[in-house]
Amino acid sequence: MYAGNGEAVEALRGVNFDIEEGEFALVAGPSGSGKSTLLNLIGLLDTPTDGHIIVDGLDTTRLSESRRTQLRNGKIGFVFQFFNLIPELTVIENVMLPRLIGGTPNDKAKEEAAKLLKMVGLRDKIFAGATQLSGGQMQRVAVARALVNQPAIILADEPTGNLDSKNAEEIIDLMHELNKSNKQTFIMVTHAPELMGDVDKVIRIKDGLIEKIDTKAA
Amino acid sequence: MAAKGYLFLLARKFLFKRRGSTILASMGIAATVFLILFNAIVFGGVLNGVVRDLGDLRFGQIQITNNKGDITNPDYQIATTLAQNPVIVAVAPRLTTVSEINFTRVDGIVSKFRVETVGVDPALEARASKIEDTIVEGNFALSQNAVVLGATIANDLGVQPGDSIIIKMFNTNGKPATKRLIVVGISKHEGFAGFDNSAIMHIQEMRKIRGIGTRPSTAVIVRLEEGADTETVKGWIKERFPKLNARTLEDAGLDIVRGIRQGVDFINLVGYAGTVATGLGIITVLTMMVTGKTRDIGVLRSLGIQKRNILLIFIIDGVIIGSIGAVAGAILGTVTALYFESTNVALFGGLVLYVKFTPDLLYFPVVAGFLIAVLSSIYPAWKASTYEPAEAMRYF
Repeated sequence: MYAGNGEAVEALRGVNFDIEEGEFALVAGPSGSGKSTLLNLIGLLDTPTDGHIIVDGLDTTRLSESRRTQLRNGKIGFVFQFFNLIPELTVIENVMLPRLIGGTPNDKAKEEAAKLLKMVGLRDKIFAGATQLSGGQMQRVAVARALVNQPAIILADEPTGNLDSKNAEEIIDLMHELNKSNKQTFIMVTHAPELMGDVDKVIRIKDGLIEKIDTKAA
Repeated sequence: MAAKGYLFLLARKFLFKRRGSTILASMGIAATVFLILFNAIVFGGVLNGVVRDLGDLRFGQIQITNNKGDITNPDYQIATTLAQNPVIVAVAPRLTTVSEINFTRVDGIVSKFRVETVGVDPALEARASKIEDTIVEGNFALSQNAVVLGATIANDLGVQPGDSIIIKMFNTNGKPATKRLIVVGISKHEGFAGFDNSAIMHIQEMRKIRGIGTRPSTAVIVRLEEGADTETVKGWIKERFPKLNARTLEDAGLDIVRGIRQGVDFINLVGYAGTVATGLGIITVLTMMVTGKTRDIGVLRSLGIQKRNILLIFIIDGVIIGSIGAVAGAILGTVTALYFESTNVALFGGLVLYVKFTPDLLYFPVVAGFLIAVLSSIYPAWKASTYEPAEAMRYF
């Protein structure tokens, strides 16, 4: 339950599941099912009225706003459907930002951001304005930004929802590669799980309730 | 970018993306700084000009009077005593009364005016005041049969240098006494405290007409060396003439200066109302910017920026606007002040402004302008810091 426009909105009820370290999990369901709300709660962007969210053994619902913000910076990376790059900044500045917020010196942040941009195939775009890129390129920048603090969890909210099929496929492949190489936990919201390739877990939600959890082993 | 340099980067980029609004807001601050400085320059110049004219023409730097009437000590006695003080460079007695001036024109028409008539010692006045500098026609060679008329009086009477007038005043017995005098000069002063409506004659002749033999005066004006401490000299004079009243120029001209200062304060109030408008303008500009950046603020919060740092970003914007505006206003104001200082600009019917620009004149307007910008940024910055990340990111 969360407060929206002064009214209590019961978006999720009795949702209970675990995601292990290094897993690639999908949260799937139709529009309005509560997927994004779930992701916002896991990402500490919203606070549940009841229940607990445990990240790395830490009950995040008991933390202060400041500590939650700190945790978001250090342990969680976000990839959004609409990329959400800061339009006034250059590509590299966008990627550096989470590191700078975390207190990393400018030179080191720049070096790591450049390395990540090279990895996502945008070496020649690092000084371009964020708004000068194509949708696929913007999402690559968003992925690099999400990775720059080497977070334990990457949360992706419909990351391919605003891309053509070719770019969507490339982004999905990139995420799978990163999941395998970095052993980071990926939790992705999608309404089309069948397009997301080989994943460890699919949590299906409907009307705010977990309908079904499919795991790879099962 | 230092540890928190990214806040400055974000503030700067948010602001410069909206160049038009930023320039407008900075111009508002610049105008505020300039307005305050301009008022200080112009009205400070007016006040200084009035004080200068009062000193040059009416009071000297110290004016000695007697609260109970005329000064009965003979003028030479006062002058001899004051000459002992090394910082006193000139002393001049004055005797002021009201007289009637008659002029019969060639066509037989007689004009009469009652005017302030000042008796002066021309030799002493030349050192103690600048009356001589106000002579626009003829000269200041005041023999005992001569008179200098103010330009307004001369014009109303139709008198020119060389004409003769009859002056009538009352003697000590209350009886009228007359004397024919030759007009030797016309006095005109565009500024303040001039003798345009007065007549100036030799003090000794005035005493003779009025039947006073002991060389009294209405006032004695004292001119000091440049930089002399008037208060110290005033005290020194009071010790020697305890029954007389010694006033500094500031004391003597206080009522006049106070009146002008009240006018200036009122005009300044209008200026300060303008600064409030500027502050409201900045609040509007930054609030619009915050509203336009709602989604990005949500993104920044999702990336881990603390609320207090969101607050700082927009306060830094206020600091940037304030700095640009204050510097621009200070430059504009300084250039204007230096121009006024070097060109003897005259305002208000010819009063030459007495502008002395010193950098300390900049402190108040620059600090005020800067603070207005920073204070005006607090509300929008606070508003930005209250956005919750998930909610803010739903904003399009």
